[in-house]
Amino acid sequence: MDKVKRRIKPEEFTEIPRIREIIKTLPREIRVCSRHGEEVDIELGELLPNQGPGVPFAEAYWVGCCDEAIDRVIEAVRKKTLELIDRAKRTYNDELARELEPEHMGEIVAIELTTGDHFVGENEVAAADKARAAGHQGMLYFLRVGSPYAHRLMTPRQ
Amino acid sequence: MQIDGYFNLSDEPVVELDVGSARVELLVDTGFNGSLIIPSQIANQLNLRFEGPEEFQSVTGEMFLADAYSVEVDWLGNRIRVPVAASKHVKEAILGGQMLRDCRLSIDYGRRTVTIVRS
Repeated sequence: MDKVKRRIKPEEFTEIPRIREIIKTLPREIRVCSRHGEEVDIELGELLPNQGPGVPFAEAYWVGCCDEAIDRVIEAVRKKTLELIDRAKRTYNDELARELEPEHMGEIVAIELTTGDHFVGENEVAAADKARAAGHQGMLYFLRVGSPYAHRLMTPRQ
Repeated sequence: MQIDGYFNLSDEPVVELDVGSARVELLVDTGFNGSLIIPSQIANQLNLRFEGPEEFQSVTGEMFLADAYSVEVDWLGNRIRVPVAASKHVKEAILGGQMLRDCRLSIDYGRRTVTIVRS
């Protein structure tokens, strides 16, 4: 059976590590097409020689048995990302705020998205290093203690 | 040790830094309270380590999602690892206030100089 390949835009390449982590958390009935039994995945293009420090591929694709299966996974990734972020924010508001405020105001808290474990540091690197040292290899969600976001970008540059 | 920047063609203060192993021009923007945020297409050229998602609030109050990575940067004579956010929602690389902790930033519009030194 021919596979369907859908190109991922280069400006979305930096989202691939997150998307792959999220795909791992999706139930099998979402990841695998019920009609054709094929799993949807992201495939990187041919590896480029002498690419230097950059990403070693020029192309990346969603790959699946049909467009419907790819659409289903893309939509599930979008929903799951929002769901995990909402859960991390709830964890912060319900449990962590009273533990971390006001002592750690302005610092960055890394919340491990599957366990809810948290680590505080002066920035994302410091908080992530503590999480990795504690054995957490999964994706972290970062939040500034005392804020509903990590950072503000107050110059209109979007 | 100091970092000397300059004004770009849009009359904005910028510095050039070795980020990963590429030279990147960064707009100095104290309205950004993080370390570095760069467009995804620039991020594709760097050695980055993925850590996880984070949200930003823009000047309009809207939130947008970015992905937090870490990267090594030459900074005032030292090679240090700093957070860098990659997002398709920004169009240029920006250096924010978190990088300037313990530093003095001087922007002299009259003399057209931009300098960063330890305070």
